Amino acid sequence: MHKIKYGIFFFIVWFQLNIQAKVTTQQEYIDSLITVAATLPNDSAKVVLLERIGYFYISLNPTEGKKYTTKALELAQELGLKSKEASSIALLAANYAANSEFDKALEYNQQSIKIFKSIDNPKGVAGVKTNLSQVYTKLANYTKAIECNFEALKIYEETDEHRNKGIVYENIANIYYELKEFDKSKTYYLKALNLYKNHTTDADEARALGNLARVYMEIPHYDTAMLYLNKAFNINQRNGNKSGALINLSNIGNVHSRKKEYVEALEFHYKALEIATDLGLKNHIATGKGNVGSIYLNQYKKSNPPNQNLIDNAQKYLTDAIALCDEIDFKAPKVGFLESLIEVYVIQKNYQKAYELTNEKTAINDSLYLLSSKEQLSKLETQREIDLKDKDLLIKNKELEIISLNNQKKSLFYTFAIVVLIILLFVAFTYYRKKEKKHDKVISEIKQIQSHEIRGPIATILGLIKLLKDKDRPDESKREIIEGIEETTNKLNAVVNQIINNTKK
Amino acid sequence: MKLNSVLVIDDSKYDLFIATEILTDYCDVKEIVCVDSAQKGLAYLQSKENALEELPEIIFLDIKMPLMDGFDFLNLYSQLSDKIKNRCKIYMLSSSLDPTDIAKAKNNNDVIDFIEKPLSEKHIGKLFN
Repeated sequence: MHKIKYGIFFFIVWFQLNIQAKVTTQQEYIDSLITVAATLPNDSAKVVLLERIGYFYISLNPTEGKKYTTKALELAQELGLKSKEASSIALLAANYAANSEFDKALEYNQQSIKIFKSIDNPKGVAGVKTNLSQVYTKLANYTKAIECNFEALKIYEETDEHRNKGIVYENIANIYYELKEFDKSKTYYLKALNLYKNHTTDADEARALGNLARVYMEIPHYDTAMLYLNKAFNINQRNGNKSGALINLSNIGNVHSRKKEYVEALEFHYKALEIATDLGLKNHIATGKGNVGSIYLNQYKKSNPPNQNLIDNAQKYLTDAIALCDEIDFKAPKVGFLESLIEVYVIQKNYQKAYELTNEKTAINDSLYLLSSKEQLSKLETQREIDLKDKDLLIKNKELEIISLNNQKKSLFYTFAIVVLIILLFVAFTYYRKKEKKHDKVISEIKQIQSHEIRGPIATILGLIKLLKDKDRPDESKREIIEGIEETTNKLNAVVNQIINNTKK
Repeated sequence: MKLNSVLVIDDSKYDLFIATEILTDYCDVKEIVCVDSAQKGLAYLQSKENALEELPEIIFLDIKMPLMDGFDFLNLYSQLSDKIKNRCKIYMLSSSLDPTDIAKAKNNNDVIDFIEKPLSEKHIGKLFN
C-alpha cells in the first residue's frame, strides 16, 4: 500500500450562522432555504438567505454554491451593501477553494479583504484571512498560511470569538501536520476541540476529530485514529454532512489499508468513492479511485494462485485516477498512483508502458523531490495539490532559516573575533603611535631645545669664557662674566633636567 | 674700524654683554644700542627715521626670542622705508644650528649674513670685508 494520506479541509466562513441542519439533512435544509428565497423580494434579507445557501453548499456542492453566492453578490452590489458584498465574495472564494480552483479562491479572498478593510470591519478581515490561510495551506505555502492565521488570531483574541479562534487553532494544526510536526499539530487540534466543545456545534467537533485522527495515523496509533474517525463519521452522518462523512470513510479505509486489512479497506474506499461521485468532487473521486486501485494491486500480490481479475481492476482504477489527476493538475497523488500502475504493468509484462510511465514519474518526482529533499516533506506522502513555486519558496525559506541560523552562529563568532582583533590592533597601533609620537616629540623637542635652549646657553658660556681668556679685564667685569657663566650654566642645567623629565613621561 | 652706531637685538642679557664687549674690544663704535626684544628694535629704528645719521650701520639680530622672533622682525623691517633699510646691514646672530633657520636667514634679502654665536673677534674681521 503506498503512503497516501487524505487531507481534510473545510472552508469556514467568518460569520456565525444559525445552523439548523441538526434536525434535517443539509440538502433538505438547503432546499427549504431555496424555497423561501424564491418568495422574498430583492432586499437585504434575501442576500442573507442566498449567502446561507452558498455557505451550506461549500461542503455539499461547490458548483451550486458558486451559483448562489454569485446571486447574493449581485444583489448586494445592486443594493449597495458593502459588507454583504464582501461576505458574498468571501463565500464565493470558499466555494472555489472547495472545488480546487485555488487561483480564483486567492483572488476573491483578497478582493473581500480589501472591501472589509475599506469599511473598517476587522472581524470580516480576520474571517477571510482564516479562509485564505486554508487556501495557502492547500497550496503548500505554509509561510503565508501561518502569517494569515496569526493575523486572524490577533483580531479574535481581542474579542470573545471562541469558535473562530478554534478554527484558527485548527488551521495552525493543519499546517503543523503538513510539516510533519505531529506533536505540535496534536496540541493545536486539542486546543481547537476544547473551544468547540463549549462554544459551537458538533459539526466543528467532527471536523477537528477527523483531522486529529490523521495525526494518530501518522504517529502511528491506529486504534485511537479509528476511534476518532468513527466519532466524527457519526456526527457528520447525523448532520447530513456528506463530504465530511466521505473523508471520514476514506480515512477509515486508509487505516485498514495500513493494517493490511484490504477487504475492509476496499469496502470503506468504495463507500467514499460513491459519495464523491454523487457530489461530483473530482479530487475526491481521483483519490478514491487511486486508493481502490492500489488496494487491488496489494490484494493481487497476496493472492495465491494469482487472481487475474484483481490486477485488471487495479489497472482500470489507477488509470482512471491518473487521468483525473491530470485533469485537475493533482500532481503529488499522481506520483503515488503512477508508482502503483507501473507495478501493475510490470506484473502484466507490459514493459513498454511501464517504461513510459517510469519516465513520466521520474520527471514529476524530480520536480517535487527537488523542492522537498531538505525538509523531507516527501511529495509521495502528501497527496496534495502543490503549487510548485510556493513549495519551492517554503523549502527555500526553511533552508535559508537553517543556513542563516548556522551562519548567524558562525558570523557571530567571526564578528566577535574580528572585533577583538580590531580592538587589539587599535590598541597596539595607538600604543605604537603614542610611543612613536612620543619618540618623535622627544626628538623634535631635543632638536628645538638643542638649537635654542641648549645651544643658546652653551654659546653664551663659550662667549663669556672667551671674553675672560682673551683679555685682562677689570675685576668688576670679570665678576660679571663669572656670574653670567654661573647663571647660564644653571639655566642649561635646568634645560637638561627638563629634557630628561620629558623623556621619562 | 670705525662705526657710528650698532644695534644688538637679543633677549639674552649675557649675549648682549658679550656683543658689547667684543664690539668694544675689536671695533671703534661710537654707540652700541642694546635692546632685549624685536619690538624694541623696530621702535628704535622708527624713532630714527628723521635722524638718518643716527641709524645703526649694523644690526645684530637674534633669532630665538619670545613673542616676536628674528624672522618676525625681518617681516616688519621689510616694510620700513628704504631710507632706513639702505643704511642698515643686518646680521643674524644665533646659536641655532638648525639648517632651515640658517637657510631662511641667508635667503632673506635684508640679511647680509648668518653669524653663529658666540660673537667673536673673527666675526668682526669678516664684517668689513
